[in-house]
Amino acid sequence: MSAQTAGPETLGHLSEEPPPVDPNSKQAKTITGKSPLRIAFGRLARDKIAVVCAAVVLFFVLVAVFAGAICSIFNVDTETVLATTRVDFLNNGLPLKGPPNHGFDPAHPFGVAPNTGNDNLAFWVYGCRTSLMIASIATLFASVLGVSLGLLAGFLGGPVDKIISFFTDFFLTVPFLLAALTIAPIVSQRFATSPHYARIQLIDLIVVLSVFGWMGIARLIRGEVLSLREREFIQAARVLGMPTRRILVKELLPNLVAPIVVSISLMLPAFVAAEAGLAFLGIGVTSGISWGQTINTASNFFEVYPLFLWEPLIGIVALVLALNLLGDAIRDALDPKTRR
Amino acid sequence: MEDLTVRFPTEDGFITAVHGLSYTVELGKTLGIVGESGSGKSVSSMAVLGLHDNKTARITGSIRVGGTEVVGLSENRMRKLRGNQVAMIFQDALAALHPFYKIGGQLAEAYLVHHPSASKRDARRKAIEMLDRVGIPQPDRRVDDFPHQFSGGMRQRAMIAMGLINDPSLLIADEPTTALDVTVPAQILDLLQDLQREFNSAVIIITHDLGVIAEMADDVLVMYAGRAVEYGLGKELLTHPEMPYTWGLLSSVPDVTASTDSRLIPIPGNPPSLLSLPAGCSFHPRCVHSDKVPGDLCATTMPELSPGTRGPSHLKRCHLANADAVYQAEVLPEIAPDLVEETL
Amino acid sequence: MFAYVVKRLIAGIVVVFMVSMAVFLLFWYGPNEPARPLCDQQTSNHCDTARLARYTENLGYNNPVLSEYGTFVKGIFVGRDMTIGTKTRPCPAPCFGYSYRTTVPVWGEMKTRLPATFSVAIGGASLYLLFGIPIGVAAARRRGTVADKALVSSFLVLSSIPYYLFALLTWLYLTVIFEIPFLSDTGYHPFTDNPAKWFSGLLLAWIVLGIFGCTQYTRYSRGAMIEALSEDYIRTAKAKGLPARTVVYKHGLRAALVPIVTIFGIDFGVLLAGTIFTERIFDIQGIGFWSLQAVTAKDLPVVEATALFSAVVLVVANLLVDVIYSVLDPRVRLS
Ligand SMILES: Nc1ncnc2c1ncn2[C@@H]1O[C@H](COP(=O)(O)OP(=O)(O)O)[C@@H](O)[C@H]1O
Ligand SMILES: [Mg+2]
Repeated sequence: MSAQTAGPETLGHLSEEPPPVDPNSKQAKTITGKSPLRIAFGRLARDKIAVVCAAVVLFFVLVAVFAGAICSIFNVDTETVLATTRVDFLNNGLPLKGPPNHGFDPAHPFGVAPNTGNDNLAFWVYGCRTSLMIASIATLFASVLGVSLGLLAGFLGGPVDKIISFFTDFFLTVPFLLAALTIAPIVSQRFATSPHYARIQLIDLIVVLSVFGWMGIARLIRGEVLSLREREFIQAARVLGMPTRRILVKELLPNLVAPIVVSISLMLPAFVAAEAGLAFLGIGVTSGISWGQTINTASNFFEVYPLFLWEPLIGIVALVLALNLLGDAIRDALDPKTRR
Repeated sequence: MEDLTVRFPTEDGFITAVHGLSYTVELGKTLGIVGESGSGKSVSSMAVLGLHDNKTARITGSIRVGGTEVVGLSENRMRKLRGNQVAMIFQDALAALHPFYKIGGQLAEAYLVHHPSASKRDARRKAIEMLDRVGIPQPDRRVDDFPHQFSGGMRQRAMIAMGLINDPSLLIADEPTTALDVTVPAQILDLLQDLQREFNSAVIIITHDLGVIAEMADDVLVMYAGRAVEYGLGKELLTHPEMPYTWGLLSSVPDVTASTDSRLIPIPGNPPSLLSLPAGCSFHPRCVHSDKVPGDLCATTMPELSPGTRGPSHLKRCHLANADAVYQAEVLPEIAPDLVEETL
Repeated sequence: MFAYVVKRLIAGIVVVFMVSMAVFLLFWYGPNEPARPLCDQQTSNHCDTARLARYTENLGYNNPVLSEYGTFVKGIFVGRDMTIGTKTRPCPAPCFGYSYRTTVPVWGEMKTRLPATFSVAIGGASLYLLFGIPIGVAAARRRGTVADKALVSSFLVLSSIPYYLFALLTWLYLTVIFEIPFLSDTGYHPFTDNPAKWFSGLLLAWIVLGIFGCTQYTRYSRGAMIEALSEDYIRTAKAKGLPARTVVYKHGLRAALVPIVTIFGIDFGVLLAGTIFTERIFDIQGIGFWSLQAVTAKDLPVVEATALFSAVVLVVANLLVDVIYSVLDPRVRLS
């Protein structure tokens, strides 16, 4: 149990290249010079693709943060009082105004959904918020969990390391899609009637994503700690009698920024994709607003109303692609030797 | 080898890893090449085997091995030469042997490519014989071992066996002892010397250890920043070096003259980047004797490789006119005072 | 070597035991009324308190958890009788309970669905290797050329798109919009019934899964190959005078295969454990789609069984990978 999975069915990959299995291969370690982060940032700023991707990501972040404001600017909202005023149930529930059959409707710039008559723009904007919120909170939790466990394993060593490493490997074998799938019916059996079901689903998702997403970062951190603690300055600090915790905070943490950044750059796009994917399957957000859910509905109307599907789909693809390419550029900038 | 130049393109422009290098090795003789790491020793000798990627490396000049011109030779004919007429032994035998194949298989493979008519069994027998020659105990059993099951010294012996399996006329040993533990290098060097006598091949031994040179080499070539800076008969060059860089190397080697009182004096500074070599003599920024040269010759003009005070058998690339005298008077007392007293 | 395999085997069994325990406990303590979905189903949503209590009792939820876990494990190995509603029925080994939705033994249905998932997995995974490795090796040999750069960046973009969107769009366009004849009829038809239909029903799924996976495997293979080709032993092989082909394949690829095979083993295990998106999108009635339907229907025994099945497959895949790895690398095998 040592390798990480990366197949398509796992919903994104949390490790980049194949893990180095060859213990004798001399992998070039990240050289930690004076301020590697600043150097990396300089490289990144010169990378055109990275800049474009960062702009795209920023756009989505702004959309997510100002979802409410955007909706009121366009005078749309997520509530639909009376669906029949917007859609024609005699015509497969397709909209009365706007796309796909009636040109552009300024009241609903993105059109309205068939059957429900929900405003697509409002759902798109709030879908973006759901997506980024879940992904970033899960990334935060997974990082905190991974960093703490990685630090513990690397620094304490011995049995603690053994146990943590065992669980790292163990969780790596279980794809989180499977975990989400297994937990979904239990959560729904227990809480479906609860008034807070939407929020419980969010929490469930975040928990599943973080509980099954911390391993990559824990491994990186553990490896980094193991190599760092052998370096002179840590040993010197220990000889000088600095207590372990202070060494950790003062000397180690700055050197861990790079692996943390790398892991976050891998987690964010994976979690965005996972959130939408689970919603698409009907086991993620089912009683809230999510791009994946819209895609699931829209695929049934694709023939007659393709725009309905393309809107959330472009949202996910653009966001995930930008995050992935940006992450790739970040990893490149941090360690240009790895690929060429 | 004549006027060999090897250049590599890099992100920041071309670097000239080897610049106008010329030397000759005869059958039965040993040439030692010394220099700090990065001075182009490996690059120049890999050019002899045509091991550089011909898409990137720009190689000019001429290398002749037993009458065959190697530079510009077709890949196919080059291949016939490699391992057959010219063989090479690398520094880190653990890395240089394939971890997934048995020692015997790797040796047999080297034999089989150049003896297409030989059977697998012949090749195996040959492999065992060669392992025996290089002093591996129980060669008929160890032949089926994997490299990781050998000790460091044994691996290097196996590398030597692989190099000599086709009885090459030239054997290049690139730092064959650097990766080994303390006592083993001497055995490996002895073995190399014995085998050279037996096979009567020409040997180029690359090292940054002048002790190895003193023991092994008939001729010595000192390299700095891609250029030959001193080239001559081994004994002569070691006792009467005329280039301050060589002096620096001598003074940074422990125990070269078996003197108990010798001092280690490292060469100040670091080798220059090949991308931005200093104007004039590449060594002058680190040279403590450049003030003895009139004017700013050292900083402006690259000295030619020209005969030293002892005639054309000893070439040096230095502006110092009375180099040997400076060495005897100033450097030798520093690094081996007792030796000076002896001669007095 | 033997001792190593035994050690891994024991570790694997321990993990399977732990996982089965965890899954069982999850389904024991997780739902607050574990029998309700069955009760609702059987009484056409007229499940009152008395009925629910009876179902709960019959399903064993009033017994101590550990003894029920024992019964559960025993059922898997030797079978057991189960009371569903009013009737007591036999549940032959391996017994994973009765499906709430269809009231047939879970294993019976699982058996009919395994071939679909295995067909998808084997076909898709073969394409991973069939295309991924050669393309990756070719790119590694031409590293830095325009063709290599174009390939790497286009595959990076392709593999950055979520798989299910790629699959969904392909499916929508090829089968719904253009209705490509041979590809459109996706679904699973048993091989033994009609091999041609089996093939055409799965072909699109294989292609989509294969193309997507092969972008990853191209990247892996390229990376592993570049790393292998930069090793010292490659220089040695060249210095021996071996032909370029021998150097690249016998020496380079042999070394690069080890990490590739390792990852492949795990990925293949993941596919066998359920190709959920592929089955859902291409309407293939395999394990993955089944568990998805079970989730929607709150068919707890089916979800429990598929979770267990997947976990066991993954553990076995990991075990096999470890063993294969140690076979491939003599440094592990002989230490
Ligand atoms: N393939 C290559 N591309 C670019 N530079 C190279 C390449 N191979 C060697 N060099 C450069 O050539 C110089 C000489 O290297 P080398 O001959 O290995 O030195 P050494 O004397 O230690 O054996 C080094 O500065 C090295 O960086
Ligand atoms: Mg070298």
